[in-house]
Amino acid sequence: MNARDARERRSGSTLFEREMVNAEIREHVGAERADISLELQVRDAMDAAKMTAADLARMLSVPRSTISRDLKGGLSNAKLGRVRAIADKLNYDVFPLVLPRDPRARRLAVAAYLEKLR
Amino acid sequence: MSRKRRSAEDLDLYEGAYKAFEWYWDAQDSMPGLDAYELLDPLARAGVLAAFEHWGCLAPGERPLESRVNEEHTDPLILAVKTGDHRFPAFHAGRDVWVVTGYYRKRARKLDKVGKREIRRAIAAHADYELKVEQGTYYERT
Repeated sequence: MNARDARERRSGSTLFEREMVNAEIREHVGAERADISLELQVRDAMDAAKMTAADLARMLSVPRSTISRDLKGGLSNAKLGRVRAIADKLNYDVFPLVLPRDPRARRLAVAAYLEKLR
Repeated sequence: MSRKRRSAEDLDLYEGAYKAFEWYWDAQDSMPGLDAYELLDPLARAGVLAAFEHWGCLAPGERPLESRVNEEHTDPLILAVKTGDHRFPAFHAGRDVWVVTGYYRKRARKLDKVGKREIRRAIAAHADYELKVEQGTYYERT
C-alpha cells in the first residue's frame, strides 16, 4: 500500500487540525501567516523586477550576506527600515498596519486606511 | 529522549491543497519527528505548522520560501521545513505525500555534526520506507 492509499483508508484529524484548536497556537500561526505573506510579496516583487539578492545588496550598499539573511532567515526578523529600503529599490511602497483585534473596529480601520490611500 | 510508541492515528501532520505531510514511523513504532515537535514551545510549534501550511498549499511548480523550506540533500531529495533554528527533514514518498523523518537544530550557518547525522538518518529512513512500502509492511503493521 502506498502513502496515498494508506492515507485514504485512515480517518481522523491531522496534527495541524488538532493544534489549531489551541487558541495560543492559532494566534501564533496567524502571525506566522502574516510574515509568510510579507515574504511572498517581496519575493514576487523581486521576481517581477527580475532582481536578485545580489542586485539588491549592491543597490543598498550592504553585504550580500545581509540581504540573504533577510530573505532566507525570514524577512519578518529584519528591521522595518530594511524592508522599506528593499521595497523602495524594487519601486514599491510598504504600508504597515496596526489594527485593532475587534472585528468591527478592524473593518472600520481598514476601510479608513484604504480611503486614505485613494 | 525517550521515544513514544505511536500508531497510524499519529501519522498525519498536515493535508494541504497540493501536498500532504506525515511523520516517519520507524521500526520501533516511534515517530522521532513528532517526539521532537511535541517538545517545542507553542511559538516554535506554530512556526512549524505555518511552514508546512505554506509548503502544502503551493501549486506544482511554485517554489516555497527559502525562509521556510530548505534543500538539505539532492539525491535522494531531502528538504527541511524550517522555522528559526528548528529543522524538520522530509523526503518525497510519491504523488503528493512527503514524510517528515526527524528534527535537528541548526546552530551555525554551516551544517554541524548533529545536522549531518540527521540528514543521514533521513536518507536511511527514505530507503527503509521505500523497501517496506514495496514489501507491504510499512502501513500494514498491526
